[in-house]
Amino acid sequence: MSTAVTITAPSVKHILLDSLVVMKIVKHVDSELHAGISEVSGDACAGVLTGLVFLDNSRLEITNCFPTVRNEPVIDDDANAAQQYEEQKQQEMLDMLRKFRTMNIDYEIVGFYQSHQFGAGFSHDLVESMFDYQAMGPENVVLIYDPIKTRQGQLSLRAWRLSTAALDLASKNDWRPELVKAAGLTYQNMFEELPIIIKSSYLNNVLMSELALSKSYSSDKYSTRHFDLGSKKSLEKSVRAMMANVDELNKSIQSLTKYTIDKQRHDNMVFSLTQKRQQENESRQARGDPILPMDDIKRIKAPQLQTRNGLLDELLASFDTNALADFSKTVTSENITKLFIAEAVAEEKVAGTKDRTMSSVSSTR
Amino acid sequence: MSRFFHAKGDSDSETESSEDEVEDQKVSKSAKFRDDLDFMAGPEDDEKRVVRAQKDKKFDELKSIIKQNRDAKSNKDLNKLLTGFDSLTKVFEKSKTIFQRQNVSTPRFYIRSLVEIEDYVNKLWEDKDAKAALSKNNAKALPALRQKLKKYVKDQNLTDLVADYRSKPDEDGYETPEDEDDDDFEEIAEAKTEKSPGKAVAVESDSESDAESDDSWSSEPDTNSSDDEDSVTKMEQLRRYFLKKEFREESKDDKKDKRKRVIKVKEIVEEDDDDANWTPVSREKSVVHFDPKEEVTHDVMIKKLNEVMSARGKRTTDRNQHVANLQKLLEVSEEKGLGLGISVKISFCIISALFELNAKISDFMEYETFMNTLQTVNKLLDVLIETDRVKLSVTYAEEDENLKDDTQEYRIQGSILIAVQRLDGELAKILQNADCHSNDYIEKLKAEKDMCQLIEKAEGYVELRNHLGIFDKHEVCKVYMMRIEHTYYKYQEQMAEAGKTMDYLCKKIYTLDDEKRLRQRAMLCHVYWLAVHDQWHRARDLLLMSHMQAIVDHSDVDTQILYNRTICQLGLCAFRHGFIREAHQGLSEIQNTQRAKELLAQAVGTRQHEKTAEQEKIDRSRQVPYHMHINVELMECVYLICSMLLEIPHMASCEFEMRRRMLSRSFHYQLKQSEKASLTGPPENTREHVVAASKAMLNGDWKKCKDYIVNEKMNQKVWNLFHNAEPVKEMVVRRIQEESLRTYLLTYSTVYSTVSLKKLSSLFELTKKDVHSIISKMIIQEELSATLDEPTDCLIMHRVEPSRLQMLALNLSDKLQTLAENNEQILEPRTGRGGYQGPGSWFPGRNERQGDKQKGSGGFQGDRRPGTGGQDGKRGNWGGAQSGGGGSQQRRHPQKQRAF
Repeated sequence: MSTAVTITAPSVKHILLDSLVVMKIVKHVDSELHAGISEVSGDACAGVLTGLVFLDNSRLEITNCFPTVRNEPVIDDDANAAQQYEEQKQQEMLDMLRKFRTMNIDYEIVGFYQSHQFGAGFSHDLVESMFDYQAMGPENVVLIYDPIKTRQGQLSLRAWRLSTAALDLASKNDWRPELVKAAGLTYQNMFEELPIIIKSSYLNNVLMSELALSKSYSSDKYSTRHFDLGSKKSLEKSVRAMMANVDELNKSIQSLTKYTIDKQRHDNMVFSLTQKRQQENESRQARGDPILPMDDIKRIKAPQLQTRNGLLDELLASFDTNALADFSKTVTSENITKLFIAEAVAEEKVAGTKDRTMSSVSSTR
Repeated sequence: MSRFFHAKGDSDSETESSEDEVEDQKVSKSAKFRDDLDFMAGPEDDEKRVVRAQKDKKFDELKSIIKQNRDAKSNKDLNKLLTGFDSLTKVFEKSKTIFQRQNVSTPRFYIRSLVEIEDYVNKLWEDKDAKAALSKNNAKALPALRQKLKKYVKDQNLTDLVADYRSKPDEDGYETPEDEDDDDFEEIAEAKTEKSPGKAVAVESDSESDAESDDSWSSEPDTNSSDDEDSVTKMEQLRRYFLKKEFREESKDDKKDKRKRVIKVKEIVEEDDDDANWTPVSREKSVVHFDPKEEVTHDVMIKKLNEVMSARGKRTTDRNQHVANLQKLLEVSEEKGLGLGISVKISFCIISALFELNAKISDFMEYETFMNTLQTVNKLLDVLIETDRVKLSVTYAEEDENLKDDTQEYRIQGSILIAVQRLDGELAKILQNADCHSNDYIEKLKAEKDMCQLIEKAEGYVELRNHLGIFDKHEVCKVYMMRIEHTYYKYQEQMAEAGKTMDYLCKKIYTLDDEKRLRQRAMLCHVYWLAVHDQWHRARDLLLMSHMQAIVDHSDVDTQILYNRTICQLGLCAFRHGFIREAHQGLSEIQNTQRAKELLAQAVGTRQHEKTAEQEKIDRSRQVPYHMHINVELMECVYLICSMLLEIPHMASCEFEMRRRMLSRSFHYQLKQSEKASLTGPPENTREHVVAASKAMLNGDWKKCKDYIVNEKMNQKVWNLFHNAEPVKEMVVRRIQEESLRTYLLTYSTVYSTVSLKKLSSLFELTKKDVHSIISKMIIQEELSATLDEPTDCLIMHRVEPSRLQMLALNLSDKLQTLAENNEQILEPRTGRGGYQGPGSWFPGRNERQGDKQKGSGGFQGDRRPGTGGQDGKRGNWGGAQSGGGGSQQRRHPQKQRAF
């Protein structure tokens, strides 16, 4: 990452997503999830988004997308092979873009998409790629798709981009606590979310409204599908992930504490030393002796934060935890609502035999 | 005697002719020069001879290296040449002092070889093609050699000599040794002529012994004498003779022997000189020769004995000869009927002489010598048992000895018991030093039986004569102890009888011994014996009564080793009886340390910090002989099986607990190792079998688990090693069924709301009664929250166990709590762990609940938990420092009492 990158503030305010893109992403990720490829190769499904930037109404239109080549598991960890592979990937992408151009499809890259469970997969790599893209075009975004929520019947797509402050830090690749603090960066404002509007064709819209109106097609109105509480597994998973993140946070907090203490001590020491030296210099001056230099004091090494990427990991972990907590919160609140409804329904039909606590315990299981 | 015959002559030809040669010399001793060269071997001057031998030896050494170098050169093996050159310079460096003392300048052949090597190397260096053709190794060696050579010549100021040699080089095929030896020879020849006649006999007998002791020289091919026979001058003949001498004197020991013999013979000769017409006597006879005129009386005999004994321990004494002399004396005394006193005394001297046959104390005896000694001791013991007229005791002073007075009891200083004891020690050493996997070991082990008989006999002797008060209390104890130590590790079918003997022996020691050490050892041996013979309760009670576990840390290393062995054997015994927990505890002390072999003194530890050579020697001397080893693999396997039976249900019961308590560290290590492996193949060794079985059990699959534990392979490696294999196997299978059932219930209790007992009993092939009892036990111990419903024969699960999600959530909240605390620290780094006072602390249930949980499980693990505490207290850390002072013992002590 070079420091020469000039950071221009993005002007886009919302995103217009073509339904085609949604379909394509869902198709791509779901097929891979089915095949279990992502589990094998260990990285997320990803692809490139193309589209147009409308600067006058500060809108980003994403009109098409295509998946990128999946990383093949490198069998022999040869740096050369990995590099070759990267080149091939790049080539393929360019090929695709060229084909888009010949077919008169928008070929301007406006970002990329990735699938992450619970929408929480903010890693160091992701931040780096985001920075790369945003350095390339200031309006570029990342779409995070959550396959699990989609499976549960709710499409989940969120658009993110790095905030300017974060971009600034990323360009220096320096996440020291002081700088992060100076930039006023927290996990909440590190990423900016953009509202997404999914644009369907008119015909499609008409069909949808037709379906909504007609009674005969809304067959699942009385079905029990809505009462399904089958989110236990995913909840478990999210809690586990949360635990991992909290562990991470704990670790970095501890090192941060240590750092703070060390830093304080160091500052005090430097301060007292400087003061002493100054006094001495004053007295020397009075006597007419030469002044002692301050170099040796400045040379005392400041303590280092004992994590690899400064506060970045901490920020990301917090962000992820937030996402997971959000997920858990919505799911549980939905579940609770469902329970209440189910109870009401059950009481209507059968004379309530079970007490509420019993049923709630057994159903959350 | 022709020269030729002599050169190839056999040693016996020389001995045969020795007598007339003596005559020969007497006649011609004034002659200036002789054809017969035999006497030349004699040392006209001791000192001179030594030096000469050293020098010649060095020359030989140098020459052999030079020859090797030549071979290397012709083979173009530069690597070899390089090492050869190194050793050549080294040897030369060493021999320099000798050369200086001898006023010999740098030998010419040495210079010549240097020049030869140099030429060769230079030639090779110049020749680019040849250099390119060299192999990689050789190419590397060439410059190194060249550098070294240059430096060496410069450093040693040999440049002049080399230049000198170069100016007039020797012709090819020139043999240096001739040149060198000739000078020497001349001096000696001259010196020889001045020999005094009195010494002739000594000289003669020496040469004779030379020939005898060294029968290898004649068999060696003698190229020098055979290739040029034409130039047979007298000088040449002499010279050749000396050439031969060179390698005759190669071994120093031989030389020493010779010298000793010479001295002895001289002594005799002087004695006999007074006689006018002395006759040459054979050597053996001459040593213990009695004057034929004089009657051999007690006094003469004692005097002779003292004379012989005075040579004992002297550096110059040949020990073999010493023994032979004593034996001769014994013979004579028996012949003359001098009575038991003398013969016992001499026998005793022989025994001690036999013990001293090998010079260094830590070295072990030759097996033959050992057997010899054993016989002698046995014989002596027989004599002592037969008659009560001889008293052998350490309490007598030398002056009190009564060897001759027939009317009284014979009193002799010494102790046969100590001899037996020492013999026992020697046997242990012999076995320690034998290769335990060879037939040789088995051969040597046969001596153990003899040894046992001997000890038994000694014991019988003690009991027979104990009333005379001739034994030291300690000695007597030692005899009993020896017997115990030869019995305790052997499994005998007729237990009752052996048990009685063991009891008897141990009780003897308990009553006799006033130092604690032997008593402790006897006790441990007793426990060991009981454990081997499956008397678990007695063994355990005895060990507990002894309070050994409290004091063993303060006892000596050997006792600690014995303690470790005992603990292991006790563990195995407990396993055979199905006391899994006790077996686990017994074995884990040794197994958890990763140094089981070392602690049992069955191998010398290697990876420890460097030991001094002395320490290592001590360690080695402590090793238990192979036939007494406890099978470590078996032990490990039993330990792992025990761990599995205990740990797997435990793991299942606290699957969600954050911090798992481990019962057995090494078992967890093995499990983790197998989890780490990317591909788990079928198990191969016993350890893998147990790990695979554990995994099966964790899934509740008892049949698979059983198949892994009991199969052909395991039969061979483990089960067949038990004397009662079948019952043990049955026990293990039964335990596997039970523990699998427990694991199954604990793991899958969340899945079931009711289980029928019938189903369970068919699943685990247990009777319904057993299932009922196991479940009841689990319910009582609060491992399982359920009720048994009698009318329907069902187990009804109570849903009080939190679900997995709930457990996770609880764990998460714990983590978050610490996170919050940590966060506080950032804000207020100065304050200590103040605790969280903000929202959330209103909920008191959290902490209480955890307390409850621990209380609940306490009933079940209460008896197990303390076991984990003291297990890492390392025991028998022999050789190293004894870590873990009083504190750990205090801790360990009460646990033991509970466990066993």
